[in-house]
Amino acid sequence: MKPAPFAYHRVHSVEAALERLHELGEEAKPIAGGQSLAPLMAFRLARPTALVDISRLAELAHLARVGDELRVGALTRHATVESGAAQCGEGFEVLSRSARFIGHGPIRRRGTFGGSLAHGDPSAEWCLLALALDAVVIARDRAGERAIDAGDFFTGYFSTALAPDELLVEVRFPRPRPHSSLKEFSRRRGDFALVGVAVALDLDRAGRCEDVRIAFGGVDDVPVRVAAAERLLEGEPAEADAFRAAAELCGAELGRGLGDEDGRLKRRLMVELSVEALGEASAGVPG
Amino acid sequence: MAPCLPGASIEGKDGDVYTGAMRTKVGPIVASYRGTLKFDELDKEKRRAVISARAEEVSGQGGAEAQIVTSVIEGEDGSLVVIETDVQIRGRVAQFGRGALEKISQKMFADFAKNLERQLSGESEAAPEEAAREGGGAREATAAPPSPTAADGTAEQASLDVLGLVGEQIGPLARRVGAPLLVGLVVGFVVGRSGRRGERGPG
Amino acid sequence: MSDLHLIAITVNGEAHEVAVDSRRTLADVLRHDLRLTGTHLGCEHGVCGACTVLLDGSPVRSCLVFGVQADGMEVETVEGLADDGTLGPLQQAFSEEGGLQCGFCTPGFLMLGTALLREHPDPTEEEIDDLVAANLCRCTGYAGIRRALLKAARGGATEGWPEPARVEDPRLLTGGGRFVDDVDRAGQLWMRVVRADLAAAEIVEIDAEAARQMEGVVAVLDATSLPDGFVIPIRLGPYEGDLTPFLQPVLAGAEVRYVGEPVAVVVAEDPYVAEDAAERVVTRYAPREPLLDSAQHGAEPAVTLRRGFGDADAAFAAADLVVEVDVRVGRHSAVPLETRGLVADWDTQARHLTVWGATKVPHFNRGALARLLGLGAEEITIRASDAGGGFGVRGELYPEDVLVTWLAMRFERPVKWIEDRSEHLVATNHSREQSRRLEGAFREDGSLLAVRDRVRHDNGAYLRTHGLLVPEMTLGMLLGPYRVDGYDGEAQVFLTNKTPAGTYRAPGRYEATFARERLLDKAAAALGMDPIALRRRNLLKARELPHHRPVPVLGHEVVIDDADFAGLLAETLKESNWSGWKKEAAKLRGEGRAIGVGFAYFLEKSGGGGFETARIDVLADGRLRVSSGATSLGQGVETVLAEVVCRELDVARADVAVVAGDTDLVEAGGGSWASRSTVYAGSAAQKAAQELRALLLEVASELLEADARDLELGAGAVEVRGSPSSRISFAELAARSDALANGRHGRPPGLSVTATFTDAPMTYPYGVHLAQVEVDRRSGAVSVLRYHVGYDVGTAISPRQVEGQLVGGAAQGIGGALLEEFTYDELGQPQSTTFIDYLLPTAAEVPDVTLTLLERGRAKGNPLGAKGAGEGGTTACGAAIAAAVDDALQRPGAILELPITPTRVMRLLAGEE
Repeated sequence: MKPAPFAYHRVHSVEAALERLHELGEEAKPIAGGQSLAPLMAFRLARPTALVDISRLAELAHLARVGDELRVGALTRHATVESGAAQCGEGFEVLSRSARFIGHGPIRRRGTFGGSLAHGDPSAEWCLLALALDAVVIARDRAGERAIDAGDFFTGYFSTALAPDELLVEVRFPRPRPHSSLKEFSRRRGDFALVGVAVALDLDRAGRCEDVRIAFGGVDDVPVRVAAAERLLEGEPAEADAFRAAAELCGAELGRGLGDEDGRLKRRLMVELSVEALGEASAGVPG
Repeated sequence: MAPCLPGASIEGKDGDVYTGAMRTKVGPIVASYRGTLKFDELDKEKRRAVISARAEEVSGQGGAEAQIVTSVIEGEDGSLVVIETDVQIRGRVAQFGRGALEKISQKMFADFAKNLERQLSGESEAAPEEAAREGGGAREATAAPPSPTAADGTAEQASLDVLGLVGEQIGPLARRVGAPLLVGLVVGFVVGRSGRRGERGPG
Repeated sequence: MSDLHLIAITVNGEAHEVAVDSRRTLADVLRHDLRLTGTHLGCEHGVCGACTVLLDGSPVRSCLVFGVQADGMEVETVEGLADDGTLGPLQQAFSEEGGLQCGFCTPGFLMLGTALLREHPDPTEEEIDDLVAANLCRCTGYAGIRRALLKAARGGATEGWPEPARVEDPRLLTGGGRFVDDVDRAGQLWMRVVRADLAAAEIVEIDAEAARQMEGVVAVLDATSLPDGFVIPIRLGPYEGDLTPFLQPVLAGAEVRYVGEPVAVVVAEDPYVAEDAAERVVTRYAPREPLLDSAQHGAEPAVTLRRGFGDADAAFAAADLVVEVDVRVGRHSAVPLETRGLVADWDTQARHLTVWGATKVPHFNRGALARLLGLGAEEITIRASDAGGGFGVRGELYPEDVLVTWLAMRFERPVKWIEDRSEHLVATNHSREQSRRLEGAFREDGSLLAVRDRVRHDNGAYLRTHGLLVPEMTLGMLLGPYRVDGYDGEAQVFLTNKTPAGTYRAPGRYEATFARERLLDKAAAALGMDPIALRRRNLLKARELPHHRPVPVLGHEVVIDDADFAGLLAETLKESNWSGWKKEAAKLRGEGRAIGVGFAYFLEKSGGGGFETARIDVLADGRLRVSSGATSLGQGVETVLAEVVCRELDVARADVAVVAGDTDLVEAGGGSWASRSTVYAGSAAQKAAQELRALLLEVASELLEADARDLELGAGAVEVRGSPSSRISFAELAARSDALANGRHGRPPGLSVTATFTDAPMTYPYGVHLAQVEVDRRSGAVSVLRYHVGYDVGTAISPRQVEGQLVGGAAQGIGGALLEEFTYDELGQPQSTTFIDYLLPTAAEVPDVTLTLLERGRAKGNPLGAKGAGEGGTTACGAAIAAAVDDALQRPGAILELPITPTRVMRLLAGEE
């Protein structure tokens, strides 16, 4: 189980990375932690002709609060988010809490935030949270930077809006979302989720839900939001009945066409996990 | 028929056997095939074609065999194009878990739907995104195999990407694809997999 | 095409410069370029963690890092942990707490633990639990690893402890083990197998031209290049009818019968190139309809076995109640963390073939290879090596063993083959897949009168070395510890287009126990009896022993000579606090949780038939070297043999070295399988030790001019009783027995004895499994909350190791009950070809297993009184967990199929909605 041949290029600046990627063409891939790409290469399902190693670009390994925004550099390790997001100010605790679902310790120590998003696994925790927290992905190519809404970023299974010569440099979470939560189910600890859900909501003074986001992973090629369920909760009291109604709607919307037994399991998980996530989110940050 | 099939290039023709190549890319996963395609039956009257195709992976170990039967059922509201595929995908792509095979096949199904629809409706520009998404919607119901296809099905890439298409675990299924885009025409797919395999000889 | 880079890395404080191809993984750089082979590769896709090293202080999986990426960085490996030769506290704790068995995963865990303790000298229990769950271990069941980390963290480990818990430990804890992939021979070639990618097809053409043209490729060969008659032989009976049509050719010729079947081999200078070339071999097939399920219409059994006794029909006619169950056990297998591999070196001048990596039945494999290769057995040496777990599948004679050895002879160069994980999951024996209809005839009082047993055994594409053993054994062992007067058993053996199946820990019994205990549970429910009371009624009583059952198991009819079935049950229920578990479950069910308890009784077998050889040499320095035909598979046989010899000759364990499985050291051997190592190799070692004692006394009596009856032996010396000044050490005895001296006395030179222990009757250990589980109604997931095994081992030579076997065995049994299954799509493409899809349990899925270990039913047929302990931890897991899930759902008899997956539980729950 050895990877197919490739040429290796280490770069020391974002500019150099972009030049390299441009020059090497579509079959080149950037590599950072390699925790998603390397296994696919071992299976020879992925056969990039060249790897551009961006893992030493210290400028991309940041995690910082800028005003309301939380900015996560592409090379920030999962483990850094796990231990660091809470210190970036209130309202982003969900990132730290969710990091522990990502693989196991050694994977979190090496894998990167940007790498996970760029890989676009539809059940990846960061992909779900990017969608649920309205994150903006900052991508750069030789011509400059552009911002891509998370909702437009994931284009298919393992596929994103990034061009081959474009580099994801940062992910911006626009504002604190203390009422957010991620829940997932996998058969074995540390595995990819069979179904995952990330939710975020605000509560008005009367305890009614506003600005609701419900995003699922593992049920489609890309992480998906269920707009109808979000609308259903809008203005509703943050209570169990309302949550269950919204969750049932999610199950019905996304579960359509899941006719077989695995589909039944997924539908059930969608409902139950989102009830839990909404409950936890509405309760807010523990402590 | 050929132009309806997304991507892939015809590299040659020997009698009624075409040789060609195709390539599908799903994120970092690439499946490239080279092989042959043959019209076993082509009845213009009945608008029915039986195509058999076989291909080997270009760089990996694996391949695909397929039989595709297309027919048209005339209806009051238009024509129903019925495409039955019987595909055997083998090798790493078919064995990798987490639905990779399924995703690749879905992508090809969607591409195929899009191209066929465009062909039938006489559109020359790329079909709107909805078509692909709708085609992709078939993915939940389908649960199986993929096949090769070029990533972008532009019209000039006269295409032999027949090898791909989809399998189906829960029995025959007819699905409307991108109906709003077509005038008086419904494209349907009946996909079948192993249950139909007995109908063909070893191939 | 290579893309070379010169990198500088510091490994364990030492600077290295290495030229590496960009695709070479850090693991391969460490192992093969720097020859630091303590870092092991278990999956090469980042799941198992055996390759964990520290990169700039941070634990990483070195299979997911390219060597070139580590340029300029610091790497720490297991070899750096005991720099000065003494074990550090963490390593010591692993030894003391049973944190390792085969030692293959151990370096990964040690590196994780090192990093954790460095960063958090006082970690929380949760941090330790997370750490243990990060990597896979297939032997220990994780409990020992957790204890070891806790002990090291809390400062409890004894630094510089004088004696490790096991003889095997020091080398395995320091990266000094010698696993097959650690063997590199100068000038070696690498073999890669081209495997069928269709389940059933005729081979039309194999086009290897492109592969042959590649740089570094020496040859590509298919079946047409092989000599005739290259077929894998059956090692174990029964032989019913002509089985030759069912045997596997070394390379497929006209047709392929499963995905993964070898069709060609590539021989190349480098494993990466060999894999590149194998991909370029194009096989054209004419597909056929595969048979994937024995229940498929028109499927015909290849062989039908019938076993039975008594008049079952009459009993059924007279029964008050007839109960039947239709059960199925999923296809799963041993999946040791080390894949298979083989290295063969042929010396043309000396006409001698040396082989590394055949670890289980080396003497059998030597004989079989000799026949196939046209050599004499004396022209082949199989060397002892460590093995990363066996559990039944490793070390049988597989097609690759024949290919590697034959290629080494053909090319007159050493040839090496290391199976990769995806290959392993389609190439190495699968096991367990059976459907079964079992009917029991009961009296109203719960007495079981007769059993009718109809098995459909899916053996995959071929009969390999195990032949019909598993289906026969599943019949022979079906009745377990119960008194039954009539048995009518039939096993239909189907050959399907899937990977061939063989034995896996508790073969035939895991399946039979599941079926039988499900039947008894159902009968208890139907009769309104307590399930335990129903068992008690049917368990054989002491006065009924020995109990003879005229059905064969490994060539012997069943004779249960000594047991205390009811006694073990009572003690186990008491020690486990079973009634407390039950009450707790009922209470929590009252609070809405789906928690239940389940119970299963089982009868095991161990040893049985054959022989084993042990040889003891007194070395020049007075230490003893024990050699055995048994092999070291992680089960700790070296420790057992050392223990036996130490006891017999009163020497310190440090003075005993054990070599297990080197065919040059013992002429003939039986090997390690069927839980026989302690029974056979242990008894042979005891016999040899007794003979050596007599020899030592005889030589000493001559030298000391004293009557042998006045001599005593102790602490590595012999002395005249009461006269310490007469003391003569083993070293001196050895020196005085050299060629010259012994020649004078008419004895062969040296102090060396060889003893063979033959044909002990089968022993029948037995036990009880108890489970408490919770079903998550949202997901259908089952988690095991508590697990307890009660077991009677006869005599425990090494109680700590018996515990390790039982706990580790239970982890495997739980895996098969809940997680592990080889699945196929409807065309026969395997869907479990990675560790992402074939789910080995992590520590998070395995509870702490508690034990009741009795030494009551001493085996009469061997001098140690030992019964094997290798399999009883596994046998009843499926049965006990199924019963517990039934109870949790309050649906008696609901679970009829293993593994109990969320999807299957949801199917049941859907009926409730």
